Amino acid sequence: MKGGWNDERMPRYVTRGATLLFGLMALSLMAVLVVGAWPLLREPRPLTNLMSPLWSPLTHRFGLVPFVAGTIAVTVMALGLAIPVGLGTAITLARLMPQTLQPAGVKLLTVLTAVPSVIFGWWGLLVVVPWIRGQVGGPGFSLLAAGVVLSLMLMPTFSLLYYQALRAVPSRYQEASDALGASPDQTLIGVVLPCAFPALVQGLFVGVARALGETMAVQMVIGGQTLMPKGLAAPGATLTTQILTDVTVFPQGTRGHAVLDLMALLLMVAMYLLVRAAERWGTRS
Amino acid sequence: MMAPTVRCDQLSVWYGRHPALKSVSLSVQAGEVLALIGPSGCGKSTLLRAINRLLDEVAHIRIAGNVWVDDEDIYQKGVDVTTLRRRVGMVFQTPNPFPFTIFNNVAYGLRLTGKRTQSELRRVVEASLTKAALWDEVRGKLARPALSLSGGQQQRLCIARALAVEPTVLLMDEPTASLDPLSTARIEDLMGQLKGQYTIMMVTHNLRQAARVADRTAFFAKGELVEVGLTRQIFTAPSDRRTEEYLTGRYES
Amino acid sequence: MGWVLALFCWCSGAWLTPSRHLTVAGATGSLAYLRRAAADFEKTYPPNTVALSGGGSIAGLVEVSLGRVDIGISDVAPQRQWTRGVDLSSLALGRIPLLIIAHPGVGVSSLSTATIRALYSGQVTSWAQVGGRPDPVVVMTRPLSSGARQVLQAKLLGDRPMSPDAVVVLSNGAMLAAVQETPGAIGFVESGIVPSRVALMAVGVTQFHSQDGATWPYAVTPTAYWKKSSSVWVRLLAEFLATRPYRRAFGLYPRAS
Repeated sequence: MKGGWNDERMPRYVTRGATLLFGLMALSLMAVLVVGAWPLLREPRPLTNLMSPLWSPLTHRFGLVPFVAGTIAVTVMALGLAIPVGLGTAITLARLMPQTLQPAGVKLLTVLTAVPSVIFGWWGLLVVVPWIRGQVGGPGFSLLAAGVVLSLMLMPTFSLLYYQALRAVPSRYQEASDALGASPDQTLIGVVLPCAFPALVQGLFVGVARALGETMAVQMVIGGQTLMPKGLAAPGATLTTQILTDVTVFPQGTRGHAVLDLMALLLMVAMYLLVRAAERWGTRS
Repeated sequence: MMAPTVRCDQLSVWYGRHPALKSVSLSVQAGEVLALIGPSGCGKSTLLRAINRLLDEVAHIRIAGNVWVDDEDIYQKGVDVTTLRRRVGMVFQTPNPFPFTIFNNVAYGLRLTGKRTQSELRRVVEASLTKAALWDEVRGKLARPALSLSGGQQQRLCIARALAVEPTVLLMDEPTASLDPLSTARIEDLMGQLKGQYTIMMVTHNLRQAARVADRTAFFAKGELVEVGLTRQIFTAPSDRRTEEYLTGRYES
Repeated sequence: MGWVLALFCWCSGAWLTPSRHLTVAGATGSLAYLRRAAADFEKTYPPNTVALSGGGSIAGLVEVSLGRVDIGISDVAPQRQWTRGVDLSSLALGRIPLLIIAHPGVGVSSLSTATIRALYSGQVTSWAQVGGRPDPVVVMTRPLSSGARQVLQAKLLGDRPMSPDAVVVLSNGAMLAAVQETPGAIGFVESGIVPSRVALMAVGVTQFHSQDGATWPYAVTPTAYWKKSSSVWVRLLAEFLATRPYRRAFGLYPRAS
């Protein structure tokens, strides 16, 4: 054989192998979830059970509606809080801070993204939950608390992604805008943000993925109530937190475990649909 | 003789400690095309960016001396940079239309000054594209992305964008450096048409282009203005040895 | 992903059997004690080694039934759906008192069994209804898999289902913190001593004191389970774990005889 290990095709084999391995892992994960959820899907009229608002796993009532509602509410709140702050931070860092200070800011944000979610959860327990209790009464454990804690977890991520998106806008566009007499704000709104828009949308979906998947910090402050949430300041649960609380009760092979697999599958499908939507949106702009 | 539109007096610029322009004094008459030639790094582009104060955006810059545009001392306190830049348009080395539609590129500068009616915008966009000799090629396609145009068309679009805000001075920084010969020829034709209506300062490395387009030519070396004069005189009988060496390809910076 | 884990365990088990490597998995509550006792066992009976892992009570029962670990530690009684009918021997490690606690501001210091039932099933919604201040009741519970929750259900609530309004907190420590901080909260903790900054409820007329660990009627009982067909070493390890004198330091009380 010519070349042997020094063959210039080596890198290609390595990258192909890695891609193949990754694909296999993703597929087998999907397969495990589908196989796990299969006993439930095969039952007569599974949707009637799954689409009810009643979760009582010990009596085989597997209504997922409260968790879907909780997941959507928490994610929307977290994004609604994290995106404006993240974008503001990114703009401050990329456009107002002196060039020499920017690397320090980026380092700080990178460190913050690595803070374990349990830390955010504890902080939520000690600060956010009592604060909400003080404002609206009730236990304080709530969808709102989860949204606030999650938004704080997401802010560094959004700030970093948006900072990179803004920095990626070619300086020649800004120069053109400057030369036409635009003020810095006009350049930001008229050129930089529109040019960065596809990257901003990409960043949004990375954030959504993190929000949908986050479990520990949310569980610590959400209250874990399996009823249809009575309001944003009321306790609730998300798909992921309910998987976390119930996964140890239902060993593999039980019906309860099939539901948990289905919940995980549901999250993956939802994320896939969002990414597809993002792609279509991205190509249109 | 008309009063000069642009006048520099003892203009010096430093990037940090590095001097980029050394005490340059130069006048540009209204409606003429002045070519700025010289080896790379001689300060030509710096001079252009001093005239619309685009240098202000550069970190660690220091500027001394005076620049007058239309009798206004532009480095005086209280000068409105926005108004200045609307009077002094600029076209860059690489075509840099925004990734918007053709229409929105030309309308961008107009919208900066506040509300204008749609019909007014349409009128100015058409007029500007016509002046930039692009209208016939893009008529009916104004909603298309600007980046779908060819490089030469993109550069003419940038010229239209600059003309839309009705400047009196046009700064062109090697406007054909990244274009093919045919596109270059069209831009040169266009400059011939614009001559007289606008005061044009053009940086170029293409000596033939300077000879074809410019009324007068200024030769720069190492941040200094070596000599300036009628293009024909500079090219045929330069008074400085360095100019002659540069024109004959023997100059070493 | 279970089969990957199974394959891994099977392989490692097959290789390591000759050096008598014993594995223990299950309830996380008694892990601190087990860590100490396992080290002790290795010192007493070389060259045996013991590997510990968590996973929870039910995982412990499942794993031991499937033969993936030698001993499963569980706070909850085995059910057929977890053990698949495998015959298991058992030995209790001790008992951890289960205490009913409330936020110090509720103005109540004892509750009858019936009242606890009414509170936990959601029938009583204000502490005023049971002689306390007019604070709304916030019921705190733990996940279904919690041994403490199962003891509460079996010994105090009986067949009355727990209110779905209950706030679910993940761990014993989180429960204590949540009840300390939340006005109107009622909850339960596993503790050998009187917990601080909460109102400890007497159940009926019985009040818990820190020396009552062995006799308090409500307790979680972490228990070691192993297959009847296991080797003598497994049985020896289980007995060793169930008899260490320093169990009390970890909140584990021997059963009152």
